Parts: sequence; C-alpha cells; structure tokens
Amino acid sequence: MQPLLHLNNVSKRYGAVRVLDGIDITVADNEFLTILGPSGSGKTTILRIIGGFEGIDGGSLMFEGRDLSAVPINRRPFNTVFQDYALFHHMTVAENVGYGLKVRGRPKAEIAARVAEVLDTVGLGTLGGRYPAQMSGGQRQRVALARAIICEPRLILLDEPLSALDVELRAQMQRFLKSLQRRLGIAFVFITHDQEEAIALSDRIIVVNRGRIEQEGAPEELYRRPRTPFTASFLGDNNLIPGTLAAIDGRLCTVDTAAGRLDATVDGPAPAPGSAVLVAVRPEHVRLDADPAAPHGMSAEVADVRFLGANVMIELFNPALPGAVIKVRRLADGSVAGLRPGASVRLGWAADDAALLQVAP
Amino acid sequence: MNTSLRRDRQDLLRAGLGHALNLGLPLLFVVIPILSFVVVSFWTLQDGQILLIPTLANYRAFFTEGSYLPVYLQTVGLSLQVTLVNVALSTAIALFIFRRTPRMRFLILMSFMLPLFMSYIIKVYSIRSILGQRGLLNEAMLGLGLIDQPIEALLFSRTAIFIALAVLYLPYAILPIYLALDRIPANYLAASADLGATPMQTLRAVVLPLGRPGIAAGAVFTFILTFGDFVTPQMVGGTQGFTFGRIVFSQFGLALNWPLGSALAVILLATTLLAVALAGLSLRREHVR
Amino acid sequence: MNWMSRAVAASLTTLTLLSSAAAVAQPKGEVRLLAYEGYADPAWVEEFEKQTGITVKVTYVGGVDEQIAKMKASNGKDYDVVTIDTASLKAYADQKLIAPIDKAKLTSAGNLLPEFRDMANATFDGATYGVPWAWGSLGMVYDKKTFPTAPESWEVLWDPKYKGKVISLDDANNAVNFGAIVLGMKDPFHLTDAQFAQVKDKLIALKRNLLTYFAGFDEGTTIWTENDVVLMFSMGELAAINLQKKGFDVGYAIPKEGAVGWLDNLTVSAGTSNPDAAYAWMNFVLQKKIGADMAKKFGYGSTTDAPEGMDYASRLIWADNPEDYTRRQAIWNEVKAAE
Repeated sequence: MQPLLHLNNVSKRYGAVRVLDGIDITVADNEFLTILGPSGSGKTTILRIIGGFEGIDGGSLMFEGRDLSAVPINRRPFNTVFQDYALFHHMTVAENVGYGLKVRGRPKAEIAARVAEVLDTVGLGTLGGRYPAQMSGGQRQRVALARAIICEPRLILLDEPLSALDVELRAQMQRFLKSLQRRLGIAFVFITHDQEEAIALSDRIIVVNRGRIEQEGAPEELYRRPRTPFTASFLGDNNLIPGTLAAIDGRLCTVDTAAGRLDATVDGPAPAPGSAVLVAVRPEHVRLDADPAAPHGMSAEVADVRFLGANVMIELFNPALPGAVIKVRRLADGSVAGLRPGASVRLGWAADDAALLQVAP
Repeated sequence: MNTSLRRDRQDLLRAGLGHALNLGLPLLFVVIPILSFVVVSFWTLQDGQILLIPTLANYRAFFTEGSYLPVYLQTVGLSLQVTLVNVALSTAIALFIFRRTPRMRFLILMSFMLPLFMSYIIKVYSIRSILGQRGLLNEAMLGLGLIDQPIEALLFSRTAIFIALAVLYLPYAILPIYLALDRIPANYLAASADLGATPMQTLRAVVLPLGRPGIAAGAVFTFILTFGDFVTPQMVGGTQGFTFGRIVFSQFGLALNWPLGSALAVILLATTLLAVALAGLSLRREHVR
Repeated sequence: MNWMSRAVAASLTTLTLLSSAAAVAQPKGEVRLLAYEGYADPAWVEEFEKQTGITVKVTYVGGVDEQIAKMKASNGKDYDVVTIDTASLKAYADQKLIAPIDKAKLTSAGNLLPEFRDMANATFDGATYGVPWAWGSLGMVYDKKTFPTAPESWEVLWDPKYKGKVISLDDANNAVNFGAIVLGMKDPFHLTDAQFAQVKDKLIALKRNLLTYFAGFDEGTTIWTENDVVLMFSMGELAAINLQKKGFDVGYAIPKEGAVGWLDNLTVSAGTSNPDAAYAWMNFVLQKKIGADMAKKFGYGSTTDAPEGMDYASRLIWADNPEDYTRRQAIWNEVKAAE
C-alpha cells in the first residue's frame, strides 16, 4: 500500500553543516507517528520540511505519490500545531480557529458552524469569543489543535506542543491528543524529545540523532529491543556493558567482558565474532540471585540502595568494569529488604532480555 | 527608636522628593510652558499693548476674521494628504525591510534613519537645490535627454511640499512601523501560511493588523510634524506653501499679537491632541499577548 | 541696517566686549558706542584711538527693542554715541534719551552729501537730534540679460510675461509698504482702510506672478541661483552685490515709484559724561574716507561719500513706523492665504 507521506533519502544543509542525512520516513494514514530525538538532532527540521517551511537539498518528499517539494506551504494538505501555539493574539479564539476556512473563502455561516463544531470537539464549546490572552496554557493548546484540524488536513504536524505545560496538564493533554487522533482518524506526526511521552502516545516512533535515523518501530519494540547504543540509552534506563562478541548461535550471542561471559540476543544481521559490542539490559531485567555456578553472568558489589517509593534502585559495581555503575530496579517489597551496601551478589538475566548492540567502528 | 523614627522621616522625605521630581519635571518643562500660552490666549490686545483683560475675542477671531479658519482647514487637508502618502510609503518600506535577513534589516533601517542625524534646515536646502529649475534633478534629466526644458513645477509647488515632507518625515514613520512589524512573532507568518493563507492574505489578516500600532504612531508623528511645520512648506511650496503654523508664527514677530498667536497655538495643540486621541481610539481593540 | 545683520551683530556683542576690555589705557577718557554691526570697524577704532588718545568701547545691539531697553536701563548714562534708525528717533527724543546735536561741535558736518546736509529727517520742533550716517534701500534686482536697461517701473513684476520668474520679500510690513509705494500712495506708512484693501489686492495680484517668496538675503540669492529668476523685490543692495559675487549679471534699481529706504543716524546720548569724546568720534567717522570704507566693506550707503551707483538716496522714502503692525501682519497673512 502506498504511504500517505514519504520522505525519501532527504538531506539538508545549513551552510557547511549537514543537519539531515539520508532520512527515510513513511507516514501511513491514521497513524500516530512520533519523531523522537534530543535537541539538535534534526527532528524539528524534518517537521519544517514536511510543513514546507524549509526546502530540501537532496532526496524527495512525496505525498500520495505526488512530489511536494515545489508545493508552497499554503497549498500543502497539512496543518501544524506550533510549539508555542502561534495563536494570533489580535483575533478571538473563533477567528483563530476559523482562519483556515476564511482564507479559503468559505461562507461565513459555514465557518461559524464548523468553528462551533471543532471547538466542541476540543472541549472549548463556549469560549469562541475570548482572546488567546484570556486563556490558560491548556486551553490555548486546544485552540491550536482546533485551528489545525478545522480544514480536515490529511496530516497534522505537532512541534513539541506539550513542552510548555506542567506535568499534570501534560498527562491530561496526552490522553486528549491520543483520543482526538483516534476520533479524527488523521495522521499525526508528533515531534518530541520526551521519550516517555513518545512511548505513551505513539503507534510508531522514529528515533533521530545527529541528523540520522537511529531506529524506528513500535514503542514496545524500541524499548525492549534497541539496536543502537543511542536508542538503548535514550529510551528509558539501560545498563550498557562493553565486551567482545565471542560466539553466535542463531539469535543467541555470547559476549566476553572484563567482568565475565554474558548472554544476549541479537535482532537483524549479526556482527562477526570478535567485534566490539555492548550488552544492553534494563535495570528491571537484572536478577540479583543468579546461580553462582552458572557459566555466564557476573559478580558485583552493592554500592547503594535507593528507595523510590514503589521501586528500589540498587546501584552496583564490578572492579573489572571501572567507572561503570550497574543499576537494578526492584519492587520495594521484602525481597530486597536485606540488601546493604557492600553485599556481594551474582547478577544474571534471561538472554532474551539483553540486546546485543553493535558499536560503530 | 529615635533613630528609626528619624530614618522613617528620611525615607519619607526621600520618597516625597522622588514624587516631587516625577511630577515636577514634566510640570516644569511641559505643563507650565503650555499653560502659560493658554493663559495668554485669553488676554486682550489693544493698540499694540497686551492687557490682562480676559476675553474670548482671540478665539472668535479664529472663526470669523481673516483667513485663519480657511488656512487651518487647508493645512489639515494638506497634513492628512502628506500623512496618507507618507504612511503608505513608510509601510511599504518597513515591509520591505521586514522581509530581509536580520543583518540586512539593521543596515537598511539605519540607512533610512541616517537623515535624522542631519540638520533640518540643511535637508530643506538640499531638497531645494535638488528640485530647483537649475537643480540636480532637472540638470540630470536634461543631461540624459529625458526632457529638453527644465520642469518648473518641481519646486515651489504642492508636489514639492509632498516630496520634501515625505523625505523629512519618512524616518519618523518608518521607525515605529518597522518596530511594530519586528514584534510580530515569526511563527505567526508560518502559521498563517500553514493554514492556507497566501502572502497577500497574511499581509492583510496578520501583518497589517499587528503593525497597526506602529502605523498609527507613524501617522500621528507625520500629521503632527506636518501640521506644525511652518518652514518647509513655505520654503519649497512657494506661494502654495502658506500653512497654519506660519500664521501662528507670524503673530509672534513684528505683529506682536501674542494673545491671538497663543489662541491659534492652543488650537494647533488641540488639533494634534485630537490626532493622538483618534489614533489611540483606533487601537482600542489591540490585545496584549 | 537690516534685521538680519542686527541678529548677527547681537551674537558678536559678547566677543567684542571681551576684546575691547582687553584694550589699553585711558589718557583722554573714553567714548562708549551703542551701535549696529559695521558701524565701528576695528580699523577705524584703532586709527581714532591713535589720533585722539580716546579709548573706544563698543556695545553692539541686534535690534531696536534691545537698543531701547539698554538706553532706558540707565537713561543713557552708559553710552555716549548711539546709532538710531530714523523711524525711532522721535521716540528717543520724546523720552529724552538723546540730546539735541550741538552743530558748533559737529565740525565734519560739511562732509555730508547735499541731500543729507539739512538733517531734515532728524529734526523735530526746531531741534536736530541726529546726523545721517548710513543708509540703504529695498530696491529691485533684475537680470541684465533680460533687461539691458533697468526696468523703469515696479509694474514689471506684475507683467505676465515674467510669470514664475519673479521673487518677492516675505515681510509683512515691508510688503505692505512696497504695495503702497507701487500704487503711488503718498504716505505708505499710514494707510486708510480703503488703501489697505487696494494694497492687499495689488499684493495678491503679484503673488500670482511669483515663483515664490523668500526671507532674508541668503534665501533670496540662493533661490535666484538655483532657479530661472529675473526679477526680485529685494531686501537691499547686498542682494545684488552677493549675486554679482557669484557671477550673476544683475543690476540694482530704484524704479520711478521709489522704494523704502532706511537711514541710521549718529546721536548723542542724553546721559553722556563726555560729550567732547562723543563729538570727536562723530567727526571722525563722518570723514569721506570712512564712509567710503563702510560702503566697500558692508554695502551700506554712506552719507558723506556716495558710492558708485548709489545715487538714488533722494528718491527713497525713509522708513517710518507703520500705523499698525498687527493689522499689516493680518493683511499679509490674507495675501499669502489667497488662492
């Protein structure tokens, strides 16, 4: 099936600085796609390219098989929710929301009806007569959404729209965004640097770093099976233990590290034995009571035990891995009550819970 | 306790002094001079002597005698026309600057502000030497063969007044308009285009409405400066350059008719205040972001 | 003496005071002058001091009002010789700020040109209060190429042939004087209502023939140089002199109707403490060579030595105070406001 939108091998430079390099992104109809990356990763540039605010230096941008690169901003079938909303402060909420229809020359009565409808949709039914300055941050957010959806675009671009909200409001808006997207059936391309937000909202996440795509996939897949060190550390906590690939048997790998021989599994093409690799294992997947006689696994000494409410975070070290702190998360129940700094434990995990990551040469 | 009382008193004194300055300086430099000629405007002139007898005769004279009212109305008309031309031109220039890159903006803006650093009278003289029958413009056009006789109507005409006042007062209009445009967040323009507006629609619906405070300020500056100008129109407008400001000025020369001059000056001031008020009124709908 | 140079003189006053304070000695006392610019040239002062041993102290004034104020402040006790324009003489005499001239002491009176010798302009009720000293006129400047001989009548300014090539002085009082003189009115300084109406119409008619008005010597000459102008109702001889200096072939004429003239007089202050010194200075500057020097340096007409071309003093109408400045200004405003 043809994707709704396809960025094919897109590159972009600012002067001598290459900000995007070989970006390939497809967006499917009705999809909630998040582009996740730290600041400076190029994620906003991708959004601006889709919106038409930036041109491209290489590759192509196709919409339903049609080349978009020569189509000006105002004729692209997308609308954008800007980071600071960009609501016109000299217009009422209703005027802001109806703007897209007005510039298309729609009749006043139709605009009024549609504005009322859309304001209802975003839960601002009675506030059309207000000015943006008279509204709270969350309300403005909804106005910006209403303004973006009124023209029934095929795709809505959202540029970190929740970053200005406080934690509680943000959680509420996340639920709202997600339900709105499902109700409308419009594709959302959402930009954020917040991995929790990305995981909570998205059907699919594309992780970008330094102008390149690191990895893409469903949130759970990215979380459980990161393929690059960046993805592994950017999405949630991860213990990354360096070593050398000793043996490979199907997906199952054995890695030699300074602290001992460890298990991991690999997705996709595997590196050759002897390559430098990392073993990525989540704190919640590390067992503290592994069989000391097992051939694989490592010993460690408890450095600190921190109580975090529902969880306890245990920090350990192994003298053979200088500078590395191994984190283990446990439910704060009786199972860890006896653990004190200085205690020696044996660490282990199921091979399926540890991802083998290639280290870029 | 005694010391703290003294300190309180000192603080009070200092605060009082501060307030006195806050009120006193404008009072000293603005209100009192204006009040003084408001007072004089109600005095009587008899046989060349100013008598402290209150009268409305000076104001009555404005409406009934001589050419005061007709010249006043003509000057209002002229000022409105100059304002219209000037604001249209300044808005276009400000928009032009606004669309450049930030560094170019500053350079272009500065070059338009440059005339502000020149003496007023030198500017008028240079305009005159450019527009004169043997002036730069005519000589150049003659030299290029565009015309075979100097254009006489360039200088000492209404056209010349428009050109001169536009040149003189353009910076006063460009600056506030540009500053207003400069305050428009860049993503408003992006948002407007994103919502489907053409550049012209964005100009009409977003840029010009948001530039309105600047445009109003530019219009008020131009109107006030033009309305009160008693030198430029006279110097470049020839026999067409007689303005209300000139009449006010003439009462303070040999005529020594200070009461009438003051009354006319009060009317001039009232007119400029009215212009400011009208501009303020037109901005009522402006909302804070 | 005109108002422009008076304004310049005012600004020079302080400077001159400083330099004269530094001057030397006082063997035979001093003479204190209250004068307009150009009336006490440093070269003359130096020669006079060397000759007589009398120290000269000059106070320059910029205008009539300032002069009266200074004289009134001390009833004339601060000054010995005062130069006063003809129109103001009587006011000074009436207020006893100046003393009648003692003709026996005025040994240089014989140097005066015939038309000034009777001092009629300065004589009231049998007493003479001033000695004519410097003069000028508000005449016509014309382009010699257009007019090989000087136009005979002011009416040429109204000739439609020269429409847009005429400029005229923007000065309420002198414009009204000018209109009245062109219309042949006997006393251009005291007009009746009917005469005012005529003058106003005449000036409005002139306005339609003008390129523009001008104010001041500089503006008049600048407009002439930058535009195609052939006729000017001027501020004075200096206008023509300045244009000639710039290479313009212009002439200066007093047409048959006449023109306003101004005439400044040397007077003796009523409060003088040293009348001999006062007369010594007056006798000194009434020498023909001083008059000639002044004409050359400042373009003023001298009463002792008629400079070349300035042979029209007898056809001038010496300026008098007008009946009503306020009214003249109102009339002039109406002229300028007329379509």
